[in-house]
Amino acid sequence: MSGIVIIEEDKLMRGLLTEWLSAEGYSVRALASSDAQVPDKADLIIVNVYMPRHAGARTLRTVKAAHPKTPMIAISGQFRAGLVGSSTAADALGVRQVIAKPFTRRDLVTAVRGVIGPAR
Amino acid sequence: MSQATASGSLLADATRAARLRLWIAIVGVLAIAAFAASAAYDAWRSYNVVISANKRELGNLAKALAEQAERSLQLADLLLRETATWYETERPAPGNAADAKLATRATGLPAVREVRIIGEHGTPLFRSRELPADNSTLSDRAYFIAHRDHPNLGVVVSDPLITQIEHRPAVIMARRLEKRDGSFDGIVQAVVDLEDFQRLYQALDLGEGSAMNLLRDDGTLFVRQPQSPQAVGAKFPELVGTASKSARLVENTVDRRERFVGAAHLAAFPLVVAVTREQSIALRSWRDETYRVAATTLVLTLLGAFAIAALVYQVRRIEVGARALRQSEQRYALAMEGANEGHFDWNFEDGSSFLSPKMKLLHGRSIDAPVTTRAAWMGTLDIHPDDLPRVEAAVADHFAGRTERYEVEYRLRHPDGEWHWLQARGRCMRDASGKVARLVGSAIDVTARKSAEAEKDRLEIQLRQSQKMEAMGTLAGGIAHDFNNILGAILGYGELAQKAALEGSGIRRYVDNVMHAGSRAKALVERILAFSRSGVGERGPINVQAVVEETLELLAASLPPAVRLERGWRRSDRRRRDPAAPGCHESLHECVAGNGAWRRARGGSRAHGRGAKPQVVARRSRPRRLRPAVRERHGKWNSAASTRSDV
Repeated sequence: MSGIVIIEEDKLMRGLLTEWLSAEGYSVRALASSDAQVPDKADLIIVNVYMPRHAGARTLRTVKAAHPKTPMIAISGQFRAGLVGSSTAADALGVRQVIAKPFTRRDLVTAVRGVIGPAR
Repeated sequence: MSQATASGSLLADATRAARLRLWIAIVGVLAIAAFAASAAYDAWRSYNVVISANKRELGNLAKALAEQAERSLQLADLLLRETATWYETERPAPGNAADAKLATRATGLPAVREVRIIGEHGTPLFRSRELPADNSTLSDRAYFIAHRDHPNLGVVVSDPLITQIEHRPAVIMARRLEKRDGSFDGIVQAVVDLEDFQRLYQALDLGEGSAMNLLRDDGTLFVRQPQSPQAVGAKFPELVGTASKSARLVENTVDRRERFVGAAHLAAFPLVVAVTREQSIALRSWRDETYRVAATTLVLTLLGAFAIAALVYQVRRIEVGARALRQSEQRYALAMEGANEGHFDWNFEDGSSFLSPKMKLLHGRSIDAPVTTRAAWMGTLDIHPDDLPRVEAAVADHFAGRTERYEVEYRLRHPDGEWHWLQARGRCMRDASGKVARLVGSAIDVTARKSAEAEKDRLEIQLRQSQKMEAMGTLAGGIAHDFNNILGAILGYGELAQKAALEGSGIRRYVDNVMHAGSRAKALVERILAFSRSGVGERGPINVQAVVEETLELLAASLPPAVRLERGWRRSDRRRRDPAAPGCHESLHECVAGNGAWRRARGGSRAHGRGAKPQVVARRSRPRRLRPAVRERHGKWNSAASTRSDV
């Protein structure tokens, strides 16, 4: 199992997400920046997006180009509240799921399971 | 003026000009032809006058000479008559006595060289001169034969001859002698000297090419002046053929030249006096005059033709110039029409004025509106009171020389009440003393430009406002993002802490309060995101009533004291669930209600002070009633769905 790669700039959030997903049994690797080396065989990439209409969208396209077959979940403090799960916004950004910050553990776990299923 | 009309006018002018040139050419050619015909007619008349004069002159001269010749020959004939009578009466015996008597009779007539009586057989019987004996018969002479064979011939004249003694030209005139029974008894003849006629004719100078001829009526030439000895005795019947008529033109056999001939028959003798003049000589003066007139006519004709050509050319040039001028005027008029420009020309010297139709229309006046002076014209205009001093100042400054040209923009109200912005430009002309003589210029309607400038200013203000709002939105978006990260950590770790704390413990209660405060902060950040429009969201059904109530709560705290907020719901409003992005309704309601409240607040105190009823300044937040900026910020709106915020 390759696990989940988290790209999150905020340290606290990075730690929180790692704890939540690790508690669910997933193998998690957290990165502070999209410039860091992302494992080629990741099952899922969770990317924090800043300014999803502009620079954030470019970041997502870059990661997607580097890992075209890896599903992605976008999280952002600039998503409107209630924007969780598959949606047109996700399609527009080229990701499988979007989650608006702040979100609950359940929101995150549900989204991850929806994409790659429960941890084995 | 349309272009088609201008082209038609130019074509009609060109046709008129071409017709004028054609008429000038026709009249000119006719005038030249008439002049040439007049000259030809004068030449023809002059020819006839010359011919008539020559004929008359020659005829009169011939008659005079014939009369003179008749008188001269009548004496000789009288001598023959008396001699015949004497002979027939006395029958003198042959001898010297009779010859003496004949000599005596012939003495008084110097032109008669000799008188001779010839017997019936042609034998000379008596003679007035002593000559060598000559008894040859004269019976073969033509004049003898004529008298012998034809009684009553009167005087018969012989062919011309040269006298044997004097060797002078002469002719023989003969009369018949008859016996008592009337039979032929011989002839009495007289040798008449022609030298006298020759001398007489020599004394008359008829000029070059003229000749005087004495001929027998069969054309035999006796005497000719100028002399032509070889022609004497020859026959020129053409000279006597018209003796009974007036002079005519004949070809003379002497030298084969055409001559005018005036001939006159002697009444008692078979003689003709013919006066001739060569045609070339007779017509020389006429020909010279005709040549001169022809040359003059030719020169004048050429001058006339040149003048006509020059006139046609000049007309053509004028027409070309006029056409170019008309084209220029039409181009100018079309350009002015296209430029929507009116023109004025105020002449202060003679008081005249010109305002183009467009100028009158620009000022809301009809094309045929009367115009007298500038002051009167300005008095009829409804110029905006704020602009009128500026207009007069611009004119005064320009007249005083403080500005190089007159230029001013002013508002003018048309009779329909609509205000128009006009821009007038002009320049004055001064006389030698520097006094303003004329003010010439133009005016255009710049209302559209002014409106565009106002719209541009408004749009620039709006753009600046939008940029400001966008910057604020970006800032708010950034704050929201960072704050959500913080909230995410707070709520996330709080959630972990909640699970870790015992239920009902103090720590658990503290953590619950932290989570509750975090949720409130989360709602606040959501609104900030909605306001900033920088977030990403989706449209979906919302509960309008909840949104409105929440909005009103927020709004109530920020309303001025003069504004009272009331709310009411209709059944349909409660059930409505509009498709909108979360937070969008709240923001929109805040905008609508806030705008209405502040508008009300600006006039609110006055309305309440007068006891007026509270006014509903914002009712239904239909997108079409919202400012464009608000509409843009909230995206596409379903017009069927609307909320109502009565303020």
